[in-house]
Amino acid sequence: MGHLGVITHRYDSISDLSREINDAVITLKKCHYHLSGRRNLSLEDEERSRETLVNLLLRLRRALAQEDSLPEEYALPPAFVNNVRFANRSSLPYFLEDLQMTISHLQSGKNYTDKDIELLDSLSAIIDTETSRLFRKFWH
Amino acid sequence: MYTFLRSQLLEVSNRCEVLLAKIAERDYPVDIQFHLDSVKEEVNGLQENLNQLIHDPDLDEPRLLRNYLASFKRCYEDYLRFEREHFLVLSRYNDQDAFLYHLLKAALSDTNYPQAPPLISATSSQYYDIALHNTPQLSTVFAPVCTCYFLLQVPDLFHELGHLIYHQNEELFIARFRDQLEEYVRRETVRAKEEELPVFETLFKSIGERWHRAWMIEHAANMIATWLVGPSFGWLHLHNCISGRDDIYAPCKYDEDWDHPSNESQMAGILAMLRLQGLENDAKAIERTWSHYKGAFGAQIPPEEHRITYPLDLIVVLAENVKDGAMTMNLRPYLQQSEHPNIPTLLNEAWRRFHEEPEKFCSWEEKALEQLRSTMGIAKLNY
Repeated sequence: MGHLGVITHRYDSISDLSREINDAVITLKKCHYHLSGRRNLSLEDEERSRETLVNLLLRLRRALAQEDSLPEEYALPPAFVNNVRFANRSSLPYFLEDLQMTISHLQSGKNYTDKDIELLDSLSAIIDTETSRLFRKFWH
Repeated sequence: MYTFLRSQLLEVSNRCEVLLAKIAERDYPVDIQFHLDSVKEEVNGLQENLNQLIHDPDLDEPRLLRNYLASFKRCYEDYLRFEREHFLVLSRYNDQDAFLYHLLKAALSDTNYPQAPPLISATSSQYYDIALHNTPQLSTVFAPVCTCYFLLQVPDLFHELGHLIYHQNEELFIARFRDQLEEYVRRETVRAKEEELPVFETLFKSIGERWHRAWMIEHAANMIATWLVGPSFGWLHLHNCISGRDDIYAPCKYDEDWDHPSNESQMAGILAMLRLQGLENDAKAIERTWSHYKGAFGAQIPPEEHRITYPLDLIVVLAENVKDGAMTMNLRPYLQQSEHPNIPTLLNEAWRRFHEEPEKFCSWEEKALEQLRSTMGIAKLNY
């Protein structure tokens, strides 16, 4: 028995999440930077992207803070959480504060800041790297 | 203007077009039309995504470039999966694949599995494997090229099927086990810390991750296979153990390669599932034979790390969890199939005859396969 069964099982869940986060970040960045593609987006598109990202950040905050264990349907791929923790290992408490700030900005509907976008971009990059790594593991 | 990234997106879209046209040039059996339609739908969806990106006015905006490269990578991964899984299978689809598809379909009907089987292709130069997709009809089983001519290794096809069943119903098979595993890892990590055993502390930290990432999936797939095809899966695992790697207790140290759990722990899981099905005599016979051979691999007594890494009581909990999951899904266990001639009973009959009359097995196997092909309307395989 090969190893494709396990790796594709993990790849499917992480690649879906990677697309979801990346698409939402693209939408927010188009709005934030007033890019020409913004014209093709509705208010609902932006609202949906905010909700997607708030939902992700809340789950991530709980996982990083190791609060009560989450029901499985809310859990994030462990590799993603571990990589975020590793990337911020020297300043996790500050990262959690920044995370909370971004959640507040997105929830309140206020304009999010460059710093929020930077944080969202860093998360999108982490999950993109992990998704590519898993893909390479089974097809390269 | 076509920038490099836009041209790349266009190239992927063109490749999809070419490969879809190649597939359309062939006739396929009615049976797999369902899969063919799903593949086309999937590729059409990919082409829509590519098209959206190609026409996105912000595609080369520097502040979005990292994000668009990620989008491109996901599209390219989808394309590669189409090329290396579905196109590979469909462009070479032949009598052998059709025979295996029918065999799998009949077996699934025997076991009461509620969905169409995955596509299957006898193109693997290695062993059985399955490429899973969230859309089940896009999942693909790769079988060894000689699968059609022998019966004894067919139970491993059910291990791959176990992966598919698990992929779609994960919570059903592992929720209770996962809670107990987490409790075990937490408790033992604290104890190792209190007793100042840093090596064991490190080991415990990695045990939870390994079980979560790979081992519980492999064990669950074994147990589902054992539920469906009974002792034949245990005998085949024994064959795999004695023909496989020497260290039957590896991996059980934190620095070892750990894609699969140890052979010894897999055997314990399979035996636990046989016993839960009431197949005690079969479990004993396999266990006795395994005990006879495993001494040849070195240590008769497992290293301490093995006992810690694969606690037997947790493996039994997993087997109970998988059994409950299989019952919830109404998957028919092997024992309830044995009244009727079907694929699982044929596989067990094959192993029984192999044990009793190994010198006559080959001719029996040839006739059994011929009869099987004839009931499926595939008189002769072109090879």
